[in-house]
Amino acid sequence: MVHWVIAACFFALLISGLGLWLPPNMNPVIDHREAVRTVHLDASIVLIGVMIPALSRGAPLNALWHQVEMFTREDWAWLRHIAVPSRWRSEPLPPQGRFNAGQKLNTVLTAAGMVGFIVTGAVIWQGEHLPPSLAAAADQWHVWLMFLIVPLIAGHMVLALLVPSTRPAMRGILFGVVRLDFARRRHARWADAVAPTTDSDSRTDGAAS
Amino acid sequence: MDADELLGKPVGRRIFLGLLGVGALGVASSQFSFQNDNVTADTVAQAVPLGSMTIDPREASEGQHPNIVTSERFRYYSVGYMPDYDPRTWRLKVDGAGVNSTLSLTLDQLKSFPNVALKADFRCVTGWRVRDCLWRGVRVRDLVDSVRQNGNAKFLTFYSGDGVYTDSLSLAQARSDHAMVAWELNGAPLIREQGYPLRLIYPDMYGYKNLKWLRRIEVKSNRDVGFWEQNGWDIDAYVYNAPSGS
Repeated sequence: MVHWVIAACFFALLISGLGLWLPPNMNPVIDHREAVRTVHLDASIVLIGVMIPALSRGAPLNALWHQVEMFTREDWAWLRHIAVPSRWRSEPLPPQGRFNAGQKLNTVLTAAGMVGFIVTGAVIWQGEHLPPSLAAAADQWHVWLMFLIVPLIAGHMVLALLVPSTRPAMRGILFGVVRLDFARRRHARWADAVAPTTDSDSRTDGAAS
Repeated sequence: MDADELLGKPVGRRIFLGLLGVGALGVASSQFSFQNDNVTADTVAQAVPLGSMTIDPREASEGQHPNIVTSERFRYYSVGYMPDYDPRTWRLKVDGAGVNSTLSLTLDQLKSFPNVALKADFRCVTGWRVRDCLWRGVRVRDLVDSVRQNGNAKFLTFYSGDGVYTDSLSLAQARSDHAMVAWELNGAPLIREQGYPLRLIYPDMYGYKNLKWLRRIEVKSNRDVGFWEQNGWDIDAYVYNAPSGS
């Protein structure tokens, strides 16, 4: 549930943000600036309102964060191997836990980007009470962050929706479970930990949140 | 959390905190580069002698129009068509309920008013700016003071020749040393996209207040809400932290 609220907020923020940023000749919503600004601010409030309780101690996302921030030696090896195209890879990718190193890195970068958006956005929002140079710098970085975060989210969506080898993970976010054969193939360490016996019909708990 | 992850290190946290640190440093250094944007009403524009209005030889040698600065370009927006200038029919009118007489000036007649030159950064509300623009023109107050004002003279509405765009200033704002109608930038006539032959320049406020293709100034008792202000932009679009009620 939290994931879909965040996703909805992301698109609301992206579209309304473009509506606030694009120059008049490229901007179909330029005539509704007040409404667009309201959408942008409200979506950010919803996003923060969802994230804070979800990340608080004992909440599900808090537990996930502790898994995401831990990098093992195999994670580093996985990152080194994934940089090599599969046809030239001499050995298989090292086995991964519930989150592979790419997912961990993506989460960390996205989380840092979100904090950056919130801080620079707050400065822009209250800009008229702050030094103009600070507001101008925050404005510039808010836009640069968009150029950093959009490829990350786009990559996340391409892997989740389009790439055949990673698409089975979509079941995890939709239904809370993934197929065990997929888990054994892509997240072998995790599959071994939660389902040590080989039973191709059984399923394992997924990354529901 | 499985045993393998327990053996790992919280690298993700370090990357996260490191990125926040890099971001904070980045914003701080960007702020430094924007320092000269901490302008005030006193520093936002400087009067310069008319003799300093010369064409930049670098620009001229590149065969470029001197108004188009290479590193910091103007971006051109218009909400309608760009009106033509016909010297036979073109007039700048000053009229309205706030004045007891009216003006209708050709461009040459307008240029016979005391000329002033102003150096100022041009700032667009969307973030881009062009530094050190040199504008030549006539102060708005010299124009409106040349007609007899009455008790209704409180606000000015500026009309663009495109028939669509309008904007307004209070009479007090328009009487500023910085409020001018300009026909020249960096020693050359405005180009069409910049409002040729005449535009309003008030560098204390963002570009959208600096109306292009100016054709009429209406002096009146109430404040008209301009084109962009009807869509959520500030009526008083100061580029600095203006005291409230200014």
